Amino acid sequence: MSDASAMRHIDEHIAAYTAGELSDEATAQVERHLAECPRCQTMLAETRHICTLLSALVSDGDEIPPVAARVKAALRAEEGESPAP
Amino acid sequence: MGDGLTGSGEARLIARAASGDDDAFAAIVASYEAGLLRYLAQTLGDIEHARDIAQETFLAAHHALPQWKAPTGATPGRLLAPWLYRIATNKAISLLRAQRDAVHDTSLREGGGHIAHGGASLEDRAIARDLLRRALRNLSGEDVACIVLHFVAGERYGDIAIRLGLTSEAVRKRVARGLIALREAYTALESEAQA
Repeated sequence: MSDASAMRHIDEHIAAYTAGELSDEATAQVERHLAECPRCQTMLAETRHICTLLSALVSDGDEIPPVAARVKAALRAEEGESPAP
Repeated sequence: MGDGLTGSGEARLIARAASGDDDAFAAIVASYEAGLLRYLAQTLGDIEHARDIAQETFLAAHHALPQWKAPTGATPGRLLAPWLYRIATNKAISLLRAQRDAVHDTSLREGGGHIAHGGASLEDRAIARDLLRRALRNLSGEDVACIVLHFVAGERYGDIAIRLGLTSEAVRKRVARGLIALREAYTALESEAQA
Protein backbone atom coordinates (compact mmCIF):
# COMPACT_ATOMS: atom_id res chain seq x y z
CA MET A 1 0.00 0.00 0.00
CA SER A 2 1.42 3.40 -0.95
CA ASP A 3 1.74 6.30 1.51
CA ALA A 4 -0.97 8.13 -0.42
CA SER A 5 -3.53 5.37 -0.25
CA ALA A 6 -2.61 4.57 3.34
CA MET A 7 -3.30 8.14 4.44
CA ARG A 8 -6.82 8.91 5.53
CA HIS A 9 -8.72 11.68 3.84
CA ILE A 10 -7.10 15.02 4.51
CA ASP A 11 -10.04 16.82 6.14
CA GLU A 12 -8.06 17.58 9.29
CA HIS A 13 -5.14 19.05 7.34
CA ILE A 14 -6.89 20.87 4.52
CA ALA A 15 -7.02 24.28 6.23
CA ALA A 16 -3.36 24.19 7.22
CA TYR A 17 -2.38 22.85 3.78
CA THR A 18 -4.26 25.63 2.01
CA ALA A 19 -2.64 28.19 4.31
CA GLY A 20 0.86 26.81 3.77
CA GLU A 21 1.12 26.04 7.48
CA LEU A 22 2.10 22.37 7.18
CA SER A 23 5.64 21.05 7.44
CA ASP A 24 7.34 20.00 4.20
CA GLU A 25 6.88 16.35 5.10
CA ALA A 26 3.18 16.75 5.87
CA THR A 27 2.69 18.81 2.72
CA ALA A 28 4.23 16.07 0.60
CA GLN A 29 2.04 13.48 2.29
CA VAL A 30 -1.10 15.52 1.65
CA GLU A 31 -0.13 16.04 -1.98
CA ARG A 32 0.45 12.34 -2.51
CA HIS A 33 -3.01 11.68 -1.14
CA LEU A 34 -4.58 14.42 -3.24
CA ALA A 35 -3.09 12.96 -6.41
CA GLU A 36 -5.10 9.79 -5.87
CA CYS A 37 -8.28 10.99 -4.15
CA PRO A 38 -11.02 12.76 -6.15
CA ARG A 39 -13.02 13.40 -2.97
CA CYS A 40 -10.22 15.36 -1.38
CA GLN A 41 -9.46 17.16 -4.66
CA THR A 42 -13.05 18.40 -4.63
CA MET A 43 -12.75 19.43 -1.00
CA LEU A 44 -9.54 21.33 -1.75
CA ALA A 45 -11.17 23.20 -4.63
CA GLU A 46 -14.13 24.07 -2.44
CA THR A 47 -11.85 25.21 0.37
CA ARG A 48 -9.86 27.45 -1.97
CA HIS A 49 -13.10 28.94 -3.28
CA ILE A 50 -14.24 29.67 0.29
CA CYS A 51 -10.86 31.29 1.04
CA THR A 52 -11.13 33.45 -2.07
CA LEU A 53 -14.66 34.52 -1.18
CA LEU A 54 -13.73 35.46 2.38
CA SER A 55 -10.57 37.31 1.40
CA ALA A 56 -12.80 39.61 -0.69
CA LEU A 57 -14.21 40.96 2.57
CA VAL A 58 -11.00 42.73 3.49
CA SER A 59 -9.59 45.89 1.98
CA ASP A 60 -6.52 47.83 2.98
CA GLY A 61 -8.13 50.97 1.61
CA ASP A 62 -10.89 51.12 4.18
CA GLU A 63 -10.50 53.95 6.65
CA ILE A 64 -12.27 53.32 9.93
CA PRO A 65 -12.66 56.44 12.07
CA PRO A 66 -11.11 55.87 15.51
CA VAL A 67 -13.25 55.59 18.63
CA ALA A 68 -10.85 57.01 21.21
CA ALA A 69 -12.73 60.30 21.45
CA ARG A 70 -16.05 58.48 21.81
CA VAL A 71 -14.65 56.27 24.55
CA LYS A 72 -13.29 59.30 26.41
CA ALA A 73 -16.61 61.13 26.12
CA ALA A 74 -18.53 58.07 27.31
CA LEU A 75 -16.26 57.72 30.34
CA ARG A 76 -16.70 61.40 31.19
CA ALA A 77 -20.47 61.03 30.86
CA GLU A 78 -20.38 58.05 33.21
CA GLU A 79 -18.33 60.01 35.72
CA GLY A 80 -20.80 62.88 35.45
CA GLU A 81 -23.68 60.54 36.18
CA SER A 82 -22.00 59.04 39.22
CA PRO A 83 -23.29 60.31 42.55
CA ALA A 84 -20.91 62.56 44.44
CA PRO A 85 -18.90 60.70 47.11
CA MET B 1 -0.14 43.28 13.42
CA GLY B 2 -0.91 46.91 13.86
CA ASP B 3 -1.58 47.24 17.56
CA GLY B 4 0.01 46.71 20.94
CA LEU B 5 2.84 48.42 22.80
CA THR B 6 6.46 47.55 23.23
CA GLY B 7 8.57 46.44 26.17
CA SER B 8 7.38 47.08 29.67
CA GLY B 9 5.52 50.24 28.69
CA GLU B 10 2.20 48.47 28.55
CA ALA B 11 2.52 46.99 32.02
CA ARG B 12 3.16 50.45 33.46
CA LEU B 13 0.25 51.91 31.50
CA ILE B 14 -2.07 49.17 32.72
CA ALA B 15 -1.09 49.76 36.33
CA ARG B 16 -1.67 53.51 35.95
CA ALA B 17 -4.98 53.04 34.12
CA ALA B 18 -6.19 50.57 36.74
CA SER B 19 -5.50 53.25 39.35
CA GLY B 20 -7.74 55.71 37.56
CA ASP B 21 -5.26 57.51 35.29
CA ASP B 22 -7.42 58.43 32.28
CA ASP B 23 -4.46 59.48 30.16
CA ALA B 24 -2.93 56.05 30.61
CA PHE B 25 -6.19 54.39 29.59
CA ALA B 26 -6.41 56.69 26.55
CA ALA B 27 -2.93 55.51 25.54
CA ILE B 28 -4.10 51.89 25.80
CA VAL B 29 -7.12 52.67 23.62
CA ALA B 30 -4.93 54.42 21.06
CA SER B 31 -2.61 51.43 20.96
CA TYR B 32 -5.28 48.80 20.33
CA GLU B 33 -8.11 50.56 18.55
CA ALA B 34 -6.92 50.29 14.94
CA GLY B 35 -6.40 46.53 15.05
CA LEU B 36 -9.54 45.92 17.06
CA LEU B 37 -11.68 48.08 14.76
CA ARG B 38 -10.41 46.31 11.69
CA TYR B 39 -11.03 42.90 13.24
CA LEU B 40 -14.56 43.88 14.27
CA ALA B 41 -15.34 45.33 10.85
CA GLN B 42 -14.22 42.06 9.27
CA THR B 43 -16.34 40.08 11.71
CA LEU B 44 -19.45 42.22 11.49
CA GLY B 45 -19.23 43.55 7.95
CA ASP B 46 -20.23 47.01 9.04
CA ILE B 47 -17.97 49.84 10.15
CA GLU B 48 -20.46 51.62 12.39
CA HIS B 49 -21.33 48.42 14.22
CA ALA B 50 -17.61 47.76 14.56
CA ARG B 51 -17.11 51.20 16.13
CA ASP B 52 -20.02 50.65 18.52
CA ILE B 53 -18.67 47.28 19.67
CA ALA B 54 -15.13 48.65 19.97
CA GLN B 55 -16.41 51.45 22.18
CA GLU B 56 -18.35 48.97 24.33
CA THR B 57 -15.26 46.79 24.55
CA PHE B 58 -13.04 49.61 25.79
CA LEU B 59 -15.67 50.78 28.28
CA ALA B 60 -16.01 47.23 29.63
CA ALA B 61 -12.23 47.00 29.83
CA HIS B 62 -12.03 50.29 31.70
CA HIS B 63 -14.44 49.02 34.33
CA ALA B 64 -12.77 45.63 34.68
CA LEU B 65 -9.13 46.71 34.44
CA PRO B 66 -8.59 46.94 38.24
CA GLN B 67 -9.39 43.20 38.45
CA TRP B 68 -7.34 42.21 35.38
CA LYS B 69 -4.34 39.95 35.88
CA ALA B 70 -1.68 39.25 33.25
CA PRO B 71 -2.10 35.72 31.87
CA THR B 72 0.78 33.29 32.15
CA GLY B 73 2.94 33.37 29.06
CA ALA B 74 1.46 36.62 27.75
CA THR B 75 3.47 38.39 25.08
CA PRO B 76 5.24 41.51 26.44
CA GLY B 77 3.78 44.62 24.90
CA ARG B 78 0.59 42.78 23.95
CA LEU B 79 -0.59 41.87 27.42
CA LEU B 80 -4.16 43.06 26.95
CA ALA B 81 -4.68 41.69 23.44
CA PRO B 82 -6.22 38.29 24.32
CA TRP B 83 -8.52 39.88 26.89
CA LEU B 84 -9.68 42.72 24.63
CA TYR B 85 -10.24 40.42 21.64
CA ARG B 86 -12.21 38.03 23.82
CA ILE B 87 -14.47 40.82 25.10
CA ALA B 88 -14.88 42.21 21.56
CA THR B 89 -15.58 38.81 20.02
CA ASN B 90 -18.23 37.93 22.59
CA LYS B 91 -19.96 41.26 22.03
CA ALA B 92 -19.74 40.85 18.25
CA ILE B 93 -21.23 37.36 18.41
CA SER B 94 -24.08 38.62 20.61
CA LEU B 95 -24.82 41.34 18.07
CA LEU B 96 -24.70 38.93 15.12
CA ARG B 97 -27.03 36.51 16.83
CA ALA B 98 -29.45 39.26 17.85
CA GLN B 99 -29.52 40.68 14.33
CA ARG B 100 -29.47 37.34 12.52
CA ASP B 101 -32.39 37.80 10.16
CA ALA B 102 -32.36 41.56 9.74
CA VAL B 103 -28.64 41.70 8.98
CA HIS B 104 -28.98 38.83 6.51
CA ASP B 105 -31.48 40.85 4.46
CA THR B 106 -29.37 44.00 4.62
CA SER B 107 -26.25 42.11 3.54
CA LEU B 108 -27.89 40.76 0.43
CA ARG B 109 -29.25 44.15 -0.53
CA GLU B 110 -26.08 46.12 0.06
CA GLY B 111 -23.48 43.68 -1.14
CA GLY B 112 -22.08 42.43 2.13
CA GLY B 113 -21.63 45.51 4.28
CA HIS B 114 -19.37 48.52 4.10
CA ILE B 115 -16.00 46.87 4.60
CA ALA B 116 -16.06 44.97 1.34
CA HIS B 117 -14.32 46.56 -1.62
CA GLY B 118 -11.78 45.57 -4.22
CA GLY B 119 -12.08 43.38 -7.26
CA ALA B 120 -14.73 40.90 -6.09
CA SER B 121 -18.24 41.27 -7.39
CA LEU B 122 -21.04 42.53 -5.19
CA GLU B 123 -22.62 39.13 -5.45
CA ASP B 124 -19.46 37.35 -4.31
CA ARG B 125 -19.12 39.69 -1.35
CA ALA B 126 -22.76 39.14 -0.39
CA ILE B 127 -22.19 35.39 -0.55
CA ALA B 128 -19.01 35.71 1.49
CA ARG B 129 -20.72 37.79 4.16
CA ASP B 130 -23.63 35.35 4.35
CA LEU B 131 -21.24 32.41 4.47
CA LEU B 132 -19.27 33.91 7.33
CA ARG B 133 -22.35 34.89 9.27
CA ARG B 134 -23.82 31.40 9.01
CA ALA B 135 -20.55 29.78 10.06
CA LEU B 136 -20.19 32.10 13.05
CA ARG B 137 -23.54 31.11 14.51
CA ASN B 138 -22.45 27.89 16.12
CA LEU B 139 -18.82 28.53 16.94
CA SER B 140 -17.19 29.58 20.20
CA GLY B 141 -15.69 33.05 20.57
CA GLU B 142 -12.11 31.86 20.07
CA ASP B 143 -13.09 29.80 17.02
CA VAL B 144 -14.79 32.88 15.55
CA ALA B 145 -11.73 35.03 16.18
CA CYS B 146 -9.43 32.44 14.60
CA ILE B 147 -11.43 32.03 11.39
CA VAL B 148 -11.95 35.77 10.91
CA LEU B 149 -8.28 36.55 11.53
CA HIS B 150 -7.15 33.69 9.29
CA PHE B 151 -9.65 33.44 6.45
CA VAL B 152 -10.66 37.10 6.19
CA ALA B 153 -7.59 38.98 7.40
CA GLY B 154 -5.12 36.40 6.10
CA GLU B 155 -3.04 36.23 9.29
CA ARG B 156 -0.59 33.39 9.93
CA TYR B 157 -1.28 30.95 12.74
CA GLY B 158 1.63 32.27 14.79
CA ASP B 159 0.40 35.86 14.60
CA ILE B 160 -3.11 34.81 15.60
CA ALA B 161 -1.69 32.83 18.51
CA ILE B 162 0.08 35.93 19.85
CA ARG B 163 -2.95 38.13 19.34
CA LEU B 164 -5.34 35.76 21.12
CA GLY B 165 -2.97 34.31 23.71
CA LEU B 166 -3.23 30.77 22.28
CA THR B 167 -0.68 28.23 21.09
CA SER B 168 -0.19 27.78 17.35
CA GLU B 169 -1.51 24.24 17.70
CA ALA B 170 -4.69 25.57 19.34
CA VAL B 171 -5.07 28.03 16.47
CA ARG B 172 -4.60 25.20 13.94
CA LYS B 173 -7.36 23.16 15.58
CA ARG B 174 -9.71 26.13 15.75
CA VAL B 175 -9.13 27.07 12.13
CA ALA B 176 -9.73 23.45 11.09
CA ARG B 177 -12.97 23.42 13.10
CA GLY B 178 -13.94 26.77 11.61
CA LEU B 179 -13.39 25.46 8.10
CA ILE B 180 -15.80 22.60 8.80
CA ALA B 181 -18.43 25.18 9.81
CA LEU B 182 -17.65 27.25 6.71
CA ARG B 183 -17.96 24.23 4.41
CA GLU B 184 -21.27 23.27 6.01
CA ALA B 185 -22.52 26.82 5.52
CA TYR B 186 -21.26 26.76 1.92
CA THR B 187 -23.12 23.51 1.24
CA ALA B 188 -26.30 24.95 2.75
CA LEU B 189 -26.00 28.08 0.63
CA GLU B 190 -25.51 26.00 -2.50
CA SER B 191 -28.55 23.87 -1.67
CA GLU B 192 -30.67 26.96 -1.15
CA ALA B 193 -29.46 28.46 -4.40
CA GLN B 194 -30.43 25.33 -6.28
CA ALA B 195 -33.84 24.97 -4.58
